[in-house]
Amino acid sequence: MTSKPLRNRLKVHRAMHNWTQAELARRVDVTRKTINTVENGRFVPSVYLALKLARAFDVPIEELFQLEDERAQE
Amino acid sequence: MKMETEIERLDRARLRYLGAYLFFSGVAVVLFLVRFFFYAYGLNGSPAGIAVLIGLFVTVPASGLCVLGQGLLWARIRKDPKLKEALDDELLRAIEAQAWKAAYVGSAATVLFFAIASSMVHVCDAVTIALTTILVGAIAQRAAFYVKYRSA
Repeated sequence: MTSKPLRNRLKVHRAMHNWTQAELARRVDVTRKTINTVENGRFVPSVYLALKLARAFDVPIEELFQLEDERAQE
Repeated sequence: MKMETEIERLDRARLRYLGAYLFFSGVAVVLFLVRFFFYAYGLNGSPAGIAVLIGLFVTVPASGLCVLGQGLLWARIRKDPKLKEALDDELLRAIEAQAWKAAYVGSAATVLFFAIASSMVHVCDAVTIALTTILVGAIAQRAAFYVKYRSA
C-alpha cells in the first residue's frame, strides 16, 4: 500500500478486453482485491505482477504503468 | 469461472474466520486481565469472578476453534498451487508485513499498561505479564491485518 505517483491504465485495458476485475485476477493469479487496489492506485505492484499484467493484455509495461510526471509531459 | 468463484469464496471465508478469532481472543484477553486484577483484590471467588471464568471457558476454546478453522482452510489452499498463488499474493504479503508495526505497538502498550497498573496494585507475576504482552502483540498484528485487508 503506497501513495507513490504512479498512474495506470488497467481499467481502460480491462474495458477494451471486456474483462471484469475478477477475470483479470484469474488470469494473473491474484485476488480481485489486488487488482482493485492496483487499479485505484492504492497498491503499487511488484515488477513481477506488472509484467504479468502487461502480458495478460499483450501490451508493453509502459502502456499500463506510467510515472505521474511522464503522464504530464504527454 | 469456477476457480474464480472459489478464490473469492475462500478469501471471504478466511476473513470471516479471522474476524471471529479476533473477537473471541480479544474478549478472552480482556477477561484474562480482569481476572488478573480480581486475583490481586481477592475477587476471583465472587460471582463476578466466576462469571469471568465462565467467559474464559467459552472464549478461549472458541478462539482455538477459529485458529483450527483457519489452519484447515490454509491446508486446503496449499494443496492447490493455483489457489495458493492467488490467495497468498503480494498485496496480502505487503499488508502482513505492515501489520507487524501494530504487534510492536500492542506489545509496548501492554508493558506500559502493566507498568502503570503496578503503581495501583501489586503486580508480581512476571510470567503473566510476559505472556499477555506476547499475546496482545500477536492479536494486534492479526487485527491490523484484518482492518487493512478488509479496507483494501
